[in-house]
Amino acid sequence: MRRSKTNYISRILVYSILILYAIITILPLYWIFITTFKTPAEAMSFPPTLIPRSFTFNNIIEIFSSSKVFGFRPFLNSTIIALGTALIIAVISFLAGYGFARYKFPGRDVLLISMLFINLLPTLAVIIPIFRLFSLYHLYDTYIGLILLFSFRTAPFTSWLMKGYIDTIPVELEESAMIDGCSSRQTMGKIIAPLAAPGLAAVAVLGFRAAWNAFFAPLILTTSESIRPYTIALYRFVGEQGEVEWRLIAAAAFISIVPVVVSFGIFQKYFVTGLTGGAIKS
Amino acid sequence: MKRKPLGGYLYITPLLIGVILFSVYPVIQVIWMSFHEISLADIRSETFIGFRNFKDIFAMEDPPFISVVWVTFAFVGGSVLFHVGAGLALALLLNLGWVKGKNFFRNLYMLPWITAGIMVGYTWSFLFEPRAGILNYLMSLVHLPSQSWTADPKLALPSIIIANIWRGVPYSLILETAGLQSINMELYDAAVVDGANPLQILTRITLPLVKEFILLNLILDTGLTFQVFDTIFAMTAGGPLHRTETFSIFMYYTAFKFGKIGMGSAISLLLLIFSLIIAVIYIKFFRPGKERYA
Repeated sequence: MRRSKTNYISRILVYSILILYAIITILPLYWIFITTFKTPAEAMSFPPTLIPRSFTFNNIIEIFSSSKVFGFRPFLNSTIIALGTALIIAVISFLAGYGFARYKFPGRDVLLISMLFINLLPTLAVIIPIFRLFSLYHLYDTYIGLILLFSFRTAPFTSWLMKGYIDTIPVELEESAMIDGCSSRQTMGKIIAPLAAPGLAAVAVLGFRAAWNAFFAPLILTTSESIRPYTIALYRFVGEQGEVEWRLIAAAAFISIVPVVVSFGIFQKYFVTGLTGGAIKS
Repeated sequence: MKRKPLGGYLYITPLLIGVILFSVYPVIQVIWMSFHEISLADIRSETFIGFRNFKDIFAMEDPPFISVVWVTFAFVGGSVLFHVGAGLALALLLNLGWVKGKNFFRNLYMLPWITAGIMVGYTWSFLFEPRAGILNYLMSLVHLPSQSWTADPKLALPSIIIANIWRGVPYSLILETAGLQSINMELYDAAVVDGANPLQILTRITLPLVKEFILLNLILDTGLTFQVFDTIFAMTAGGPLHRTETFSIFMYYTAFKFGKIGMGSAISLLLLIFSLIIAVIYIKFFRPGKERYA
């Protein structure tokens, strides 16, 4: 294939758009980032300083010290809930994705479309019955209640995603494994699961993110400090303050973004390259 | 390959049980609850009151129901339009063969999407803050009058829409990128060999093939934007003068601030019906999945 020549002006135009949007994306986060490390005096000064003159870790330390802000516990709670969700969602979506991709059973297409519908039902719209259900069956204000809710509210979508991944893995690979004497379960574990690993990673990270960032459901379904996630703890903290201390909110926001950035960073290549097409093509 | 069809049910059973418990059952429950008077203080008991919850919603004056509908549609419409438009545009640009630093740009653009909605709300509150905020400062540099943004009845709604656009573009970008990457590269090679120009490749190959992903994007994003609560709650909490009170905020206040669980359920049911109408329209018109390998 010959390389197509693109003219100079359109190149400049394309890069300008990409860089402009990069600036729009990064500016609010840059603002949070520098405020996290500013001293109280500089954080409140006017005009605001775009390039910080001071540097301090005190804001982050204050967030983690429970006597001043809300401490470490809310972050621990969020971690437990988010990891639990990631694990459960990966298992359920893989199984369902495999079932939908590889079996033609009566009602399959109807069920698939139903999952799209169910994914579109806002959690918001079903939160009141869930609140009642949780109150009656002792799931209110528990880790497991939130984990199950996040997992199963996200699973219809992630199951679609897994089905899509598994669809792209040729059936021939499984067939030849079966001819070589693998059982159906072995094929799934040894052939499909490794090839679907990028999909599994993507699905787990999506589950982690959904739970880590959740605000509405825990606002309604938690009450005690030993369960509630950092999003709720921060909201309560802001509400209790007479005057908003932006440097502390910025620090809390900064701390909360780090785990998601790290998990997306680690699994980034799976999102970008998708399935290893080359290995399958031949 | 021959497989026992019943095996399929086995694999999807965990999903189905969860979906029944956390989606199907609550939907049935919310319909039932919306015809009852239930108070937050005594959630176990209920009184049947027919359509009175719905009458109360439509007759409401503070805020009027029509105001909640308008705010919600403006918020969803404005957000989704920019999400899908900008997401597709950026995905197309990043799919150009000669663009350098693709991964850098893609990862950078993802940042708003992986940030918690409540944090997006606080971040933009901070930017919009009248005194210490950077936005008024930047405007003062070009001699524009400073604004009170989220506290201004006229500017509050545009402010939360802007914050939500910023938050949601990456999601569309991911979906559209996935769509573009699913296209078989051999199609492009064949088109180039046949002498097609870049515009022809875009309109004859790329767009027809990503149509399905645009559809999926519209469906999912509309559904997601309808339920945005955290960003709005952090920025304006529905104010000033109910000018940013969407369905989600309205439902929360009714059920959990004023304790009217039955009426809250009725609002939930309306929200549910809206979502269903949108889903039916999209699926009827485009039927996702059917034309995929056509």
